[in-house]
Amino acid sequence: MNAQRHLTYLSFGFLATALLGLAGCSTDRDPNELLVPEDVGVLTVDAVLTVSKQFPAIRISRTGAPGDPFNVADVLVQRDIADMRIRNDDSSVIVKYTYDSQSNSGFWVPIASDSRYRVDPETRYELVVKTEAAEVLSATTITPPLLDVDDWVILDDAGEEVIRRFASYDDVNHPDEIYLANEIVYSTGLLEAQFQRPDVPAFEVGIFSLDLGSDYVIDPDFFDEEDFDSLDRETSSPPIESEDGTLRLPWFAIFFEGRYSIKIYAMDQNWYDLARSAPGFGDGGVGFGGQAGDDFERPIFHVEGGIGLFGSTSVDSIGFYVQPRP
Amino acid sequence: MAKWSVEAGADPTVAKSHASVWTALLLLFVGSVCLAPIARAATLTGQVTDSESGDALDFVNVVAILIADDNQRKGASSEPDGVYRLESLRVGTYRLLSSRIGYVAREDTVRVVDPVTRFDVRMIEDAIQVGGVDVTADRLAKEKEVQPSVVEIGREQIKSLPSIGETDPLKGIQFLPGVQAASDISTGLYIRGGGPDQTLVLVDEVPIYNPTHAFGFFSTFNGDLVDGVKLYKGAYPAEYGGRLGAVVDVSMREPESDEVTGTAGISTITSRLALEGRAGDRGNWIVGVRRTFLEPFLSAIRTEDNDIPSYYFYDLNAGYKWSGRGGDKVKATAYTGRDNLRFDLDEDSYLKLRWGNTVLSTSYSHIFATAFLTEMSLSVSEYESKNEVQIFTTPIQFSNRILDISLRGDVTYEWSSDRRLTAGVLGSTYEFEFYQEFNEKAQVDYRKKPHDVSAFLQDDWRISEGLRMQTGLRGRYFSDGSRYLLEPRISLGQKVGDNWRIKAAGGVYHQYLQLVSTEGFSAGDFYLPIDDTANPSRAIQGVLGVEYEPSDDYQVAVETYYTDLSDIVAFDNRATGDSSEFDAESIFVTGGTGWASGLELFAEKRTGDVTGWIGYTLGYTRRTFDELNGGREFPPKYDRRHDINAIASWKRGKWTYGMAFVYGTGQAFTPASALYTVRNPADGQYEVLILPGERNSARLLPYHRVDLSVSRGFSFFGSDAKWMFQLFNAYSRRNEWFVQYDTEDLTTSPQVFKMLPLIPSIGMEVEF
Repeated sequence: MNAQRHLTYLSFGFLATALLGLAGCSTDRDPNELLVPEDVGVLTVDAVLTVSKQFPAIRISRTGAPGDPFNVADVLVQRDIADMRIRNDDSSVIVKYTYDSQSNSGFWVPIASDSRYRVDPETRYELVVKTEAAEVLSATTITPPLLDVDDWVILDDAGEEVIRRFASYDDVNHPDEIYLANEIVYSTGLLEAQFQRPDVPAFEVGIFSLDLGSDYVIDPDFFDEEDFDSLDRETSSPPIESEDGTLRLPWFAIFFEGRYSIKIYAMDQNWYDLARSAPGFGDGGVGFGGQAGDDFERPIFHVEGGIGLFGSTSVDSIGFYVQPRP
Repeated sequence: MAKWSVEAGADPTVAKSHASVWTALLLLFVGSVCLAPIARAATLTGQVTDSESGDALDFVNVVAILIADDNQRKGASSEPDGVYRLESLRVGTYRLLSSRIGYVAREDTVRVVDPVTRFDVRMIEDAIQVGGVDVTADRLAKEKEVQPSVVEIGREQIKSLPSIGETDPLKGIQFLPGVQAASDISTGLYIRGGGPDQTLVLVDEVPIYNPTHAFGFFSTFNGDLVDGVKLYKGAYPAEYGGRLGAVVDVSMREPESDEVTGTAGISTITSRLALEGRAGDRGNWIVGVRRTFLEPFLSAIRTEDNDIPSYYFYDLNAGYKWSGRGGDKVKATAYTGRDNLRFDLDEDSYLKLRWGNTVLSTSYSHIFATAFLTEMSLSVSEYESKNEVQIFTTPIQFSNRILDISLRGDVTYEWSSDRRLTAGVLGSTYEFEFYQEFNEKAQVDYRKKPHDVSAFLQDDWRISEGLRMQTGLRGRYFSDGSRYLLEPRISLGQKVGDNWRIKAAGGVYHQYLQLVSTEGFSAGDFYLPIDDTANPSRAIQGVLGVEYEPSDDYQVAVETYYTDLSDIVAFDNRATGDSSEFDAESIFVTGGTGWASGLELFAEKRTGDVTGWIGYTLGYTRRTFDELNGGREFPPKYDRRHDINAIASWKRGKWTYGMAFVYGTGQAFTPASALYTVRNPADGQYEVLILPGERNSARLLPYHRVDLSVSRGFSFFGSDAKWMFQLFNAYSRRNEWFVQYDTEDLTTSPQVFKMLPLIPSIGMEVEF
């Protein structure tokens, strides 16, 4: 019995000592311990072709170290690219790129003779970038069909009946007249775009407040000054599949009175995959949990020899004017 | 103590009765049934009944002590039909001690002869409640002889574990080796390298689909009404199915009291009341209610400038038991619980979350003969979550629901003194619903009604004095995809010497229902069936263990396990929010493989003033999916290399002191490996983004904490009462929960969100 008691006391003594030791362990640590800079210096492409438009300016950069201040000028690849070009499948279009030394803004632009080309719908394009150091980055995109929104309408609050149709750009003599034609009081009904759905993975919506400095149309009790300052005049949606060819636009993305432009983008597979898989990119993806592993996964890039986005889109838009609630 | 002396006679007919009833079942189970049972030692069996009513009595502790040698003793607990069985006895004369709360303990002298001796025990009800009878009935004794990885924690043990305010069975089993929690505020169970969806949680054998309150802070189980928790950590037997990993079976307390008695309690968070009593000559009832009382305090501090949400949860339990003559029993139980959270920001913006479970079940058991027990049950289990959010006049709704209606029939046949056959059929019909509406437009409206039929046959056979084998086969049909599956199970237990036992078990397991869940805390979790677009997940498990029991006081166990996983799935975070594709292939990343392996050490002191256990687990687990981590193998977040648990309880007079210690390797997480920049084409803004590195390739700091508790019994207006004081995380270690990289402001260092600091709580309960 004594031996048992001694064993018990000994166990408690050992445990108490161990606990005292553990209780003294701090959980404070250098944040850099949470970073593993193993992908620094990787080539990054940034280019999105828009159907019916000229071939876009392209930005090539390199990844930076996590935890360090990220200065875009430091990571742009401005000189040491030997060749950059986009071509279609049968090489009937070959757009060669050169560094835009005139603006020196880090962009590569089509050479003057190739600026005549327009991006065709439903066409496969390949981008190839070769650096002086013989690195090769390549990617392909298949452009979406043309997107043409049939109607921009206002539905009643239940979303069942059309109470108003917005004028389209075809209905006005000058594009600027669209705002006068489409005045609406904030949060009146539900704004919906109706269209024949092209065969694309998804759409994104871009909302642009055009009158910089205009007043707010919201005044939530729970907002402080910092919250108001954080509101952007340009916002975008996550990818939306919109199987039925309608997109209902939320009033919660509109904060200011004045002129607005709304653009709907039909996304190609590359943009869609990056938007839904890159943490923090364009508010994309449906995330559960924190960034502790659930949705903090390497994005889908569709880029060989690097990362980034080489995508394409087709776009339609409308303009309107938001009046504050009386 | 009353004393009787009865000369019992042998009953050689036990092994032969009702054999014909089983002919059909035997044909299904040719492999093992062809082998005849071999009786090599004496068995003492009989039925325990109430001397007045003739009711069969379960949970009667029956202990036989050989008069010629006090060291030769065996104990068992009577089953629901009142039958007890003591096996492997030496021929001789025994003192037979029988005891049960509410009855006069008795001692009989019984002459045990080879092969089977029958001796019925009639218990006399005690007019005055017998206090202090220590019922340490080991009704798992037989199962523990053959089944590794099974643990039962009783009500008193659960209540003695330190906790935050509320006694919680699910949090209690997180202290066992091989079991870990996702966080301080999660009742999700990660058992032997499996995720929470790989564990089947049952309440009185009925599945409960989201057993949480307060986002996982508490489980749905009211500690006052729980009788015990049985946990199969792996290689579970054929009577269970449907999950890849483990089974947690929570038994609610059956009403027994003849008088109206009750327990009332109050803690820092809830108040609760449980009452039970007699209904007519043969019935008993029990009801319990628990509710948070935070709302008056929240309301008091809520002002126009101070947005404080409204939150409460409640649960209600009710049970009725009717015991007929000859062991017939009818049971009906009901549970319902709801959580409500409402956060009114202003007239245009609010948040309303409401979720909860409802479980209804009724069962009837009948004993056709001493050796032939049947039980039928009908159950309904529903989980639903309804949520509404409105942001600046834009309404969003999302809700989900699972309804499980099941009919179950089990028969148990005592083939002989050494062999028991059990068979059962379970038919379930499910309704899955998931609805999502954005801006008055339905985005997802998913409804599915699959059916699931399974049947099992299990043979528990004591082959020799020390060798016991349990074989089983479970067949399953799932209507979604019209698939049939067979799942063989086997376990073996070999006694070595007086104190050692070697056990091994294995089996094949499949899972059709998959949980879509947050891993950090439980809110809005929902289940979805694997349809014909993907294969059901499969696990092949093997467990090998050695147990050493030098006495009834101590147990030491070592177990090692290996699980092979195939066709496992992971929720695809990359699906778009309004996706109408709701088949398994679209919702999940499918076709994954994986494995889990580990070694568990467990030492327990069961009796005396100081009780408790120490456990250690060495674990490894990995997953591989073509679509994740570039197809390379990775550890899931809950891959924990080392895990230490220690529990101690010290009773000293009216005082009881408790301590729990947990240490675990830090959780795996995915670190940032670089920064890059691209323009968001939709709004033209350039964004600097974080590039995630190798999946779960970094670790948080090790997790450890100590919980302490002290309680003291006292008299409260003549009733037994107890107050409790508890310290959760006594040395207030701010364990790391998860890492957040700020994608908006990259000048901000990565933030580590911490788990709970020291939380004191007090409580009191009164039994009347």
